[in-house]
Amino acid sequence: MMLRRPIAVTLAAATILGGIVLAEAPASAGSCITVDIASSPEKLVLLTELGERFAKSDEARVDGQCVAIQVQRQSSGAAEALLEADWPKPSKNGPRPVIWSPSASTWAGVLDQRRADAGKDPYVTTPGKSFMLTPLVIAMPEPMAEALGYPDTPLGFEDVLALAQDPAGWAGKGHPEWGPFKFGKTNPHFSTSGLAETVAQYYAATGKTSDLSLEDLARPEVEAYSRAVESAVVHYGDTTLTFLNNLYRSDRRGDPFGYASAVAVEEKSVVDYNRGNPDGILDPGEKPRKPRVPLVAIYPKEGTLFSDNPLMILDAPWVSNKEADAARAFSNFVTEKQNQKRVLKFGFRPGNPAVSIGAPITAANGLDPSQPQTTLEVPSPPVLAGVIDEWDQVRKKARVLLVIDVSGSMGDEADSRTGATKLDLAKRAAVAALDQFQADDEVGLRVFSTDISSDEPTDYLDLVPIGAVSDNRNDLERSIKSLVPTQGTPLYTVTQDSYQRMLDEFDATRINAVVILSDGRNEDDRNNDLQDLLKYLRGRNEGETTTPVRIFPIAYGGDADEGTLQRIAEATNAAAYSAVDPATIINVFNAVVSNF
Amino acid sequence: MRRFLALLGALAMVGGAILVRGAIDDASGGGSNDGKKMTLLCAAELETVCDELHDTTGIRIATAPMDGVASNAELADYDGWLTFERNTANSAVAPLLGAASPVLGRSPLVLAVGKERGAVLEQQCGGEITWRCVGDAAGSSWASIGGEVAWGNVKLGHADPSTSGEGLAIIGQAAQQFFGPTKNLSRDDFEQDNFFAWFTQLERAVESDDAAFEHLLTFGAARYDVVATIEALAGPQLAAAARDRRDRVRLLYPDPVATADVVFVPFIDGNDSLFDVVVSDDGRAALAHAGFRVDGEDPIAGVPTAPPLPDSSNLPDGGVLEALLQTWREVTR
Repeated sequence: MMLRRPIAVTLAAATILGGIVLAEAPASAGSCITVDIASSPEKLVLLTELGERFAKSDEARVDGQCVAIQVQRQSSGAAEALLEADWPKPSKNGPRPVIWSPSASTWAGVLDQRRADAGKDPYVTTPGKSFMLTPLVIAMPEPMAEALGYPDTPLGFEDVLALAQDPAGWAGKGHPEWGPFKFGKTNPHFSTSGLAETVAQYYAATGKTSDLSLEDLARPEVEAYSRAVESAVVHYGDTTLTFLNNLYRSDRRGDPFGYASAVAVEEKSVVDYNRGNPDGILDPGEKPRKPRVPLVAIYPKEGTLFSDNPLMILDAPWVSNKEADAARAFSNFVTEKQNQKRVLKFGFRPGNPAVSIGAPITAANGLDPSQPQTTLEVPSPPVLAGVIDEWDQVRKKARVLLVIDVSGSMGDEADSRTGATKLDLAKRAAVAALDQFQADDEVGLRVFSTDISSDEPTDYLDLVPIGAVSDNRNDLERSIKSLVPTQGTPLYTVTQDSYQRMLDEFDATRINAVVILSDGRNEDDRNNDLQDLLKYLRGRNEGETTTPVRIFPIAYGGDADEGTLQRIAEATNAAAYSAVDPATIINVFNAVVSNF
Repeated sequence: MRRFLALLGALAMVGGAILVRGAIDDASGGGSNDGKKMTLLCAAELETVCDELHDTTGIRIATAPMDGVASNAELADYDGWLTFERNTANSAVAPLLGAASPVLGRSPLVLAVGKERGAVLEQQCGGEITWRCVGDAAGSSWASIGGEVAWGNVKLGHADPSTSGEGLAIIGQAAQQFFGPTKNLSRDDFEQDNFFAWFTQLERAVESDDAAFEHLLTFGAARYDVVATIEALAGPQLAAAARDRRDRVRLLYPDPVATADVVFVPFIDGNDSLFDVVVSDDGRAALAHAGFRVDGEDPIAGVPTAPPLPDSSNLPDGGVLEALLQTWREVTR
């Protein structure tokens, strides 16, 4: 994998939360009816390509007027949140969509339920045409799956989640060298696979495959089951790509079992991973290298959920009749047989049954086209919303040290309109992000700049000790608001010391992490050895029985040392985030906190 | 001789087209709807038929689900209704309707099942899959009736009977076959405990889904184990499906065969000329192209000629179906 790709991925991850990547519209788009599409990231390239083909076809006409397609990237959860709020600030959030294409129809239920709760009309009044499909699977390194009986024994959430709750971990399956069972799943507020996995987990907890109810969610044994499963989670996050990239990197380093034992992902991701392209993005000239240990897909025996990628034409006030007609024409176009063959190339199953489910959905890729054998019933919208709310209560709690750069450059102007500095914007984002933590998460605040402290170590200062958010939220907010820029950037020292601090106080029941926001390069003559830092971090993150402390760096502003921050993140099997444009810092902070 | 016959046929077609166009022009020029094109109201399931009629004859069309018709305040704008024969008992609309046409097209009701699961069900049913046996198995785990654990529970799909004539016909067939084909059903029958329990078990395992058959093909047996629909929808879709998907599914015609029959019903104050348009060759062809069996028209791919159609629909009459719909609402509440 090329080094710059992880940054591209984290850029993508950052843009997922409100950031926009617009597909290029055809040159003649100005005179045409424009159909804006808010698409989940995994099909952005495909939809953009089909949009360009469509624009050149005879079908792209409504009442004699041409039609242009413009696709913007919005993760399913982020788009749902925007639509819930009537898609405010199009200049910042992207144009209001005519078509919404989340990964799965389940998001439509969540949206309309939340709008109904707020006394608003629904936006999804007719079901969207399913564009392509991919089932949620449990992806495991093949030897680990074999240790559970794969491929002869049908496996499911029950088996995997039992292992997650077993203190003996893999030792109970004859593999003590693999350490504890580590589970990767995304945050259901943001991610479709995270939502689907959480629904499946609640079904497994109840023993049901349909009719999940709010009463079920509230049962103490169901809550206890879910809490135990969540305890095995490595960390969360807004996208499965973080997990897949980290797995791949561990595999390439010869440590395929150290990072995670199983990850809840879409089947399509297994295709990409086994091709040696874990994030599904190939940079120009990049040659994918297959992993040493491939993943196999476990199709849960209890049933699973499909991501059906609907194209939903919104019943929203900003959608004109002409735009809706144009959207229907595009929807018909993409489901035509010749266009559906394209979706297979991207690792999805075609939504049009006239097209076979062929390669790459094959056994050679660890997949089985005849699976899944049964599906779980999608819960009703109130129950879906309840699942997310309930997850907030049982998810693995976090222990996080926020480390903020207050070097002199943070005083640079970041918004010429208001005169706000980079530090001003970062302070606002950090305060806003505090709302995403639960009351029993533990958070502390450290700032760093050379000679900021009169006592040793002089490079950083602990402003708020790590403690329950319920106790120290006001202190955190007050301290963040009072930050002022000072001198240089002792990045390496503060990184190492913060990591060591979290390691010393490691709490196995929590996600232990350091979030470092920095706008510059290391400016510390006393500690200028990056290799030494990376060696230190890697030494504590390789092998199966490490105590996992993750560092999630945020590269802030145009002068941030993105490459170094990326390497720091990779050394701890975490992810780096980029907020090169300081205006995006609120969204980026949200993405970072989605890991907890 | 062959050329002569072909010429005669062509002349007949031209003549027919002139007659239809004349009927449309008449409607535009006079009658009860002065200056207005005739408008045909279509049952939602017959939308493709009506789209073709619009394209070939120029009449205006509007589509509405069954419950939409009942609540539509603008019925006066329509001249006639293309629908399933058993829908015409819809009490909210019936007073506005004239006499129904003869049956224009027919489609047998079918059950679609995955081949592997169908074989297990067949064994469970004693050799032949019947509605009675499907209802007995509905919602049970496959493991309990001889299937695989991984298949989960027996899941069914059919169109919503409260909005779809197809769905109403399906529950009608199910009820009729529960009591036996010769039983003349009445409203009281639906209150019998054994029927109520059976119907409850059946319909609680059903997902109301107007595209259930398409979803069976798309998602495979993971989504539905049994789908009830009409041959006109299932046959052509199955024929067009890729082989790997097609080979996994088979269509069954529960015995005795029941049919969803399409009729045209004029609105009392509507333009009489619409009848000529709908029963014209264009109308017959549109029905055949939509997968219905139409006398004298070649069936499209996927629509077989067997089994032969019964003389009547073998469904309870419209009033009884209305009562059954009330029971359905009760058991699925």
